[in-house]
Amino acid sequence: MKFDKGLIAGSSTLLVLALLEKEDMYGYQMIEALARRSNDAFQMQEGTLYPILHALEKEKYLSSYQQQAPTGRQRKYYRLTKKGKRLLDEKRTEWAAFHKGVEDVLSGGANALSYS
Amino acid sequence: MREKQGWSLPRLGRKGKILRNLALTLVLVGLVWGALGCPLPPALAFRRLELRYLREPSQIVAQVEQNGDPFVVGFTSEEVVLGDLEGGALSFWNWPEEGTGLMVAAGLRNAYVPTTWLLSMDAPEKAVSARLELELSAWMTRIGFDGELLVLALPTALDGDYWQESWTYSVEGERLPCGEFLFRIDAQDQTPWQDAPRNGVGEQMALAQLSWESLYTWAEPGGEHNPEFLALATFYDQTGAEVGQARLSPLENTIQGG
Amino acid sequence: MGADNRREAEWLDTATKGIRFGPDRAAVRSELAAHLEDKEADFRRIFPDMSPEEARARALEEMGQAEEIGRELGRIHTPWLGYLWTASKWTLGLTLTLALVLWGWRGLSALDTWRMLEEANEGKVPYGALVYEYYLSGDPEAPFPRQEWETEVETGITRTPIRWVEGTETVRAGLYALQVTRGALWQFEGESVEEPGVQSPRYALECELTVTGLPGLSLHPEAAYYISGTDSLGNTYQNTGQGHGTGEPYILAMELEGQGLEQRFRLSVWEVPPEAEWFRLDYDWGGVEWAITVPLKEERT
Repeated sequence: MKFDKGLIAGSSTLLVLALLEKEDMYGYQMIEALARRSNDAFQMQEGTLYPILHALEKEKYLSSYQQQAPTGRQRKYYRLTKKGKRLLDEKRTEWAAFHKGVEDVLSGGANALSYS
Repeated sequence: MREKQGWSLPRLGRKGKILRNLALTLVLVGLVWGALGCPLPPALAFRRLELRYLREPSQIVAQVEQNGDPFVVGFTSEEVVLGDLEGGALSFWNWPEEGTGLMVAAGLRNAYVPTTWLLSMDAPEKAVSARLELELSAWMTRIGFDGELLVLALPTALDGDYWQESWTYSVEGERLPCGEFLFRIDAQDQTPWQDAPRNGVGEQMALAQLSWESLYTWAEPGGEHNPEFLALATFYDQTGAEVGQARLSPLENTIQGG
Repeated sequence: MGADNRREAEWLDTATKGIRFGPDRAAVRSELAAHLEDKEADFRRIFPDMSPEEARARALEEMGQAEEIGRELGRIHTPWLGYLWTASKWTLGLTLTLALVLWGWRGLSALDTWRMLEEANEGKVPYGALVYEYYLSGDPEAPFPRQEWETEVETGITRTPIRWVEGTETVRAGLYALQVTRGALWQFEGESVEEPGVQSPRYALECELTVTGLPGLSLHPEAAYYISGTDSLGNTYQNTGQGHGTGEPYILAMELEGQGLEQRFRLSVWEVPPEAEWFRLDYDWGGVEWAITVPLKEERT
């Protein structure tokens, strides 16, 4: 299932940050992890990952380093910074609120009485 | 990433590297500048000299270059200050009590300065042009086959080959914004000392005579055969009429410092 | 094969052409190229029958639009910091080369001179300096330094310090801090070989003026020629730098070797009467004024 691109664009940042929360990864590795974790629900054009990574790195949400792969090539690994972790938490909260809002609308207000 | 400039702390991002490079560059520039003797532009070099001479800053009125050597002239209420920036020294002249005076700028470091200049002090207000006439007369004797020597201290009785020679030199003054006149004496001038043998002792000495110490130290005080030197500046107003004169006499004009 | 490599190269070029700073562009290009390689390898692993060309083609497809990616990357990777970095590297490199060349050249010639001086002055202190130290120390027990060849020669003079100078207060003038640090009033008796016929006893005050300045702005020694003096009895002393008549009291100022930011001047004052209780250095020239009163103590501490 492929989601609406608009929906993906907004949440790409969140996804990338979340991916790096547990472990440092390089670009291709992230694409794979994304596909795996979402059971292939999310499939973005892979090239578009990099502008996101670079933008996040530029804003100091991510840091990077080079590591040699077993094949001998250099791979650029990305790591979540403290600032990035804070952004992740912020975006999570945002997403949760958004998600809840959408849910409420869809369910016709049935959950309106429960407070989150 | 790049290993080019090896030395760098792991956390130093690009901005950090730029700042570090600039900082190092500045440090190096400072060291190079220091190694070159801390050269400063003329006005600042003059101020530095004044500080080192423990003097209040004078009013800078002129900057003159002679033979590539920079000089700065400053006025205080009591004196005219001359800064020889190349030689790193200041010289001082008192304002003439009345009338106009003349001071000699160069030839203070060594006797054989081929070019030198004089400055008027308190030139007449109305003066728009000025002319300097120099006259030197001295006794000469022969040395060796064709060498000539200017004699400074002669025996009381003249025996042997001695004769007297004289030279004149004339130059137009340049009017400076501060109102004083600058007279440049240039050995390469098109109108050299008249009748002086080219590159001969005569010409050399004629210009070197402006170093008073070399000329008059050895001469007998009040001696009959001392060299005689006269520098006379005449000032004219716009109609060409004479409005004043200034004389330079070695005995009246004591040069301090240098 | 060739065609696909070219397509891949073209894709990479388009995707990175927005990045103007060379090194940055190369870095991003290699990151994207690595991704493509990984992707191709994966395809080959999952579909072992797929040909390398096909794998490459599909990989490129899944990467996305090179143009769009190129635009985005171009917006993110602005070249200015990169240019600045290159500029700073070049400036540093050039300045370093200049500094090394300058230092090498000067250092070599300076090294020669320095070595020559070291050899010539192997541990020797100039005789003059020893004499000044003797007078400034005011030590009545110290033997007068003699030159090697002088040991047998009697100079015929006795030297006795009769009053002493201890450190005075520090005075500030211009950029400098001035202080008279030590000295003594000496009595000379007997007939001097150098000046026979001159009446004895004679008296001279020898004191040390220490001037602390700033780096590169040492006090010009000629400034010391404008120090004059007065004693407690009202006598005045002109500096020899200003010229003085013979027979008149005078001050002679001379620079000695100093250390670091400190300069030392020896002030020799002739002749200060033995009854003088203090001596004052006066300075008023070029708009700067200062004075230091030097008490002349009868007891040495």
